[in-house]
This record gives sequence, C-alpha cells and structure tokens, in this order.
Amino acid sequence: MPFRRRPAPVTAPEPGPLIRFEDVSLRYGPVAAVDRVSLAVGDGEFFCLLGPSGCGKTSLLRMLAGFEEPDGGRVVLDGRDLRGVPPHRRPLNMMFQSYALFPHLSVAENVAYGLRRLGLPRAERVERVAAMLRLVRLDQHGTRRPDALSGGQRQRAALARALARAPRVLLLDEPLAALDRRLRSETGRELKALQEAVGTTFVMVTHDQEEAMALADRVGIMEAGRLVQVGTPRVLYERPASRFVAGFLGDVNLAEGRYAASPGGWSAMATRLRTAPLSCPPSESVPAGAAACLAVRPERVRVLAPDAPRTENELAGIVAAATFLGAATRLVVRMADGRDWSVLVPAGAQPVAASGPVRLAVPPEAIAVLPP
Amino acid sequence: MRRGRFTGFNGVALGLGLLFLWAPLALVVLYSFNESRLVTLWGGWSLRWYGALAGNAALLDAAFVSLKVALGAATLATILGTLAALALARRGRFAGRTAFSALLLAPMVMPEVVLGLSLLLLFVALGLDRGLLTVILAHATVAIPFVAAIVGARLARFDRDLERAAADLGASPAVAIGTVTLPVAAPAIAAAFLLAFTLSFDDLVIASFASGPGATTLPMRIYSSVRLGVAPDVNAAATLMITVVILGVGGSLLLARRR
Repeated sequence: MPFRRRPAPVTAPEPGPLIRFEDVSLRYGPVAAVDRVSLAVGDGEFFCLLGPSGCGKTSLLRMLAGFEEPDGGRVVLDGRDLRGVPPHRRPLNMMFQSYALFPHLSVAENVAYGLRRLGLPRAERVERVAAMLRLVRLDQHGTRRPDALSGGQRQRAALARALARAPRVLLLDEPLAALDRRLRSETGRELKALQEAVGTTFVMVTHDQEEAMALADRVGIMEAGRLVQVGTPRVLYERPASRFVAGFLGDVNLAEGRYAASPGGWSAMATRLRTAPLSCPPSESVPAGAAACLAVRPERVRVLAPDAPRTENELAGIVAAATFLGAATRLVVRMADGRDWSVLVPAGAQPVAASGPVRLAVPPEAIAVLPP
Repeated sequence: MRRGRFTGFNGVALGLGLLFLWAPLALVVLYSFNESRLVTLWGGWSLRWYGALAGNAALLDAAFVSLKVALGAATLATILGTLAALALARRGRFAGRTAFSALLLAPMVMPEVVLGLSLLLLFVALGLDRGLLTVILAHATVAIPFVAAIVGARLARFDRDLERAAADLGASPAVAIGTVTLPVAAPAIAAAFLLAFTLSFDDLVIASFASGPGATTLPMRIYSSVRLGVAPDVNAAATLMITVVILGVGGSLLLARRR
C-alpha cells in the first residue's frame, strides 16, 4: 500500500500550504455565500471549517471540489490554479454528507469505481479494493449493496471509496452528521486515526464544534460568508478573536468595559463588575483606551471559600441556581453588572451553597479581551 | 387523506365502474373459449378457436408484423425519449427549454387521426415507401412523449450527489451518465420501453395511415376481418392481445414503482 505513515503533528506548525484560497468569493445573486476568504491548508493537515448552517463553509468545500466556480479570487492546489478544471480532473476526492453511494453497485464495485476511471489493471484494482475494504473493516461486506449496510458501515464504505484513489486531499462534508450520537464519537476517533495512518490532507466541514475540536489540527471559523478566525482548537477556545467565536465554541461569560494597556506589561479592563479594573493579558485586537468585551470560560472562574485571603481579580456575586451535572456543578451567579455568569465547580471541590453571596476569582490569564 | 368507510354506495359505484370498463373485454375472453361457431351463441367450453388461430396464416403474419413494429418502435422511442428527458433534466436553463418541453409532450394529446394524417403526408412528401419502417417511425413518434415523461419523472427525483460523486471519482459527464445516471434510472427506462411497446402493439389509427402493403399489423387485420363478420378465432386473437397488453402495462407499472 502506498500509504505514508507519519506521526500526527502535536501542535500545528506553520505548514507548507497545499491548498490556498486567495481572496475567494462566491455569490448567489446579491448574496455573498463566500466573502473574500483567504486561507492556506498545509500538506498532511486535518483542517476543519466550522460554522453555523448557511455560513458558506460548504460552498468553500464545493469550490475546492469543482462543483462551484468562484466569482472572484483563486483556488490553488499544489501550486496550480484550479480555475476551469472540472471536478473529474481534480486530484482530490470528497465524502458526501449523504454518502452518495451508487445504489446499483456493490460496496466493492463502489470502491472500484474511481479506480476503473484511472484505468488500473484488473489485478491491481482488485488488490487495492481489498486493501481499502480491510482499512475500513468492511472486507466481509464487499458483495453487499449499500442499502443492506448499517449507517456506520455506509459511512465507512463512502470513506473507502473516496480514499481509494489516494487523493492529495480528502474533502469531508459533515462526515458524522448522519450517524447517531453514540456512533459519532467512536467513528470520529476512527476517522482521526485513519487520517494519521494515511497522512492524506483532510478538509472537513461541520457545524458541530465538539467534532471540530476533537478531530482537527486547525479549525477555521466562518460567519456569514467570512472566515473570522483560524487556529488550533486550543487557541480558538482560549484566545477567541471575537464574541462570535467565543460563543460558538462553548459557554462563555462576558462583560463590557474599557480596555487600558499599561507599558509595564499587564493590561486592565474597567468594567461594571467591580470598582477597580481587572488585570488581564494584553489584547491583540483592541487598541488601548477603546471599548472592549471581556470573556471568561465558566471552568476558569474559581469559587473562593468565604474565609479565603484576598485574591487578584476577585469578584462578588450572588448564586441564583446550582445544577449538579455529575462531573461538575454548574452555578448561575448574578454579577454586579446585572448579568448572569455560568461557573463550573468541579466535583470534589468545596461545596457551594445553592443560594446567597459568593466570592469568585478570575485568573488574569483566563481572560480574553475582545472587540465589543 | 382521510380513509373513508367502505359503504354500500361506494361498493355499488366501484362495481359499476369496473363493470363498465371490463365487461366488454370479459365478453371477448369468454367467447374466445366458445365451442359454437356463432359468435353470440354459447355452445360450451372449448379451445377450438385457439387451434383455428394457429392455422390462420394471415392473423399469425399480422401478429408477427405487430411484434416487429412494437419492438422497433419501442426501442427507437426509448432511446430518443430518454435523450430528450436527459436534456430537459440536466442541461439546466438552455434557451427554449420551456418550448422544448411543451413541444415534446404535446403529441400525447394530439388527435391520433390528425397525427396519422400528418405522418402520411410527411412520408409521401419524403418519397418514403409505406411499409414496416414507416409504421415503426410513426409509432415511435407517438411513444416518445410517454417515454420522456416517465424517464423525466425519475430524473427529477434523482439524487444529484450521485452524479457529483461520479465526477469526483474521475468520471467525465458522459461517463457519469453511462455508469451512474442510466443504470440507476434503468427501472424507469424499462417501464417506459414496455409502455411504448404496448402503445405500438395495440394501435390501429396511426398504423392505418402509416402502413403499406406487407405491413399489416394485428389490430389492422382484426379490424378488417371483423368488417366481414366476427369470426370466432378473432376473439382468440383479441384475448391473446389483451394478455400481451396487460403483461406489458403491468410490468411497466411494477418497474416504475421500483426505486
């Protein structure tokens, strides 16, 4: 098998771009489905486009596959401008959301379909199909028709068919959306392991942030046709660039205020949470003295014991509700500015009263300062 | 829709409808098994007229002609009708698409006499000798809109991702149609073929205009022999025709219902 084995990139280094979107736009009438997107995806990377439905992520994928031509900008694969290249001449394959398995062909014939178009000799084709079916654990089901397979098996058959031609890039359109919840995480892990084993560049589209964070090396977040932030899941989660990104990747607590940068290193946010400003890390996106928004993840807010010594960035609040979740307890805390914050108290921590005043502390490094 | 109760009124209505439709046919089938030489007199059960039919060279010849015509016309109509349906379903919004669609389906509702007459004029103008070929051409003309409608309906609810997947896997548009679109639509195409076959096999009017010496179809032969008085072996031939048509239409319906 011509699969290259390579270790998974632990962190995403600056990758040599295999795919480049250069200022790409796509319009449907007056609506821009994709609005001047520029993006580079590296060789061997597992890249994920994440966004709510209608944000343009699937349009971006379809321009890469060749089912849509951009109205502006260029799509470049391996240094070659893809404009005017029809889908059947592009060295990439796609796994469709509906799987699009050919109903009149057996699973093995489905996998062989792309190899036939390459004109491979019969013996080589048979061997390659067998290897692909083994890879996705369908070697016992090669003679079945797609409608005789379970949902998970269909998904793996579609994967084998798309990988059989050893494409430079595999495109995955919501690969796990059609599976039930239990199967989804298991299949996701398999997909990740497979990508690491074959080393092919994967570009996936999903609206499920957990899926994107669990699978991808890097994630690009889209909103209304624009690419708003690209980064590793950790960076996106801990250093979101906007309120949209922060809110899309899980729960977040927000507070409006004014950002002040000090030449000494530490910066501060004046908010209505307390009279003194809160220390925070310097912001990359907000100029000094400008209105800004502070964001903190619920699990980064600490609950202090009533007799604990004074702590940096201490806040006072009133517990409005407590919900036991098993691994943690979720508190709803009414803050001084009138907003409700969500605070996750891990199991095993000191229990907190389900109502009444509470002392909170936000470590400065847990704060992200975002544009308002 | 709400499923109503099966009342006495419904039963009577259904019975009358079925009687109206099927009584004449049932009578022909019944009398084809009549022992008596007189068509309207029951003389007991017999297969005598089926035996006589086997000896009636003129009727057998006509049946053979009908078979050839129906096969030829159905083949031609299926090819052209399927191509037309593909063009309508896949070429997007080309100039004149609506006009093409209307022109394609209009012959369905055109009076057969008018169609037959115009075909006759055309064949004469072209200097085409009337015979087997002209009947095949004429019947194909009648059947093409039906084929286009049936195949077009299948293509309209076709999962376009299947064709995209074929293209993605390296198939050019022509190869994708040959290896994915047509095979997946095959049941509908086969159903259209059977319907075209049946339309041709039982047609009298168009054939009368388009046919010439040596190309007398079974319906033409039966019609002309009945003008001289109904011979009992014609009942037997009619019964066999009914069987062929029921098999054709039934098969067509069964195929069209398959996905």
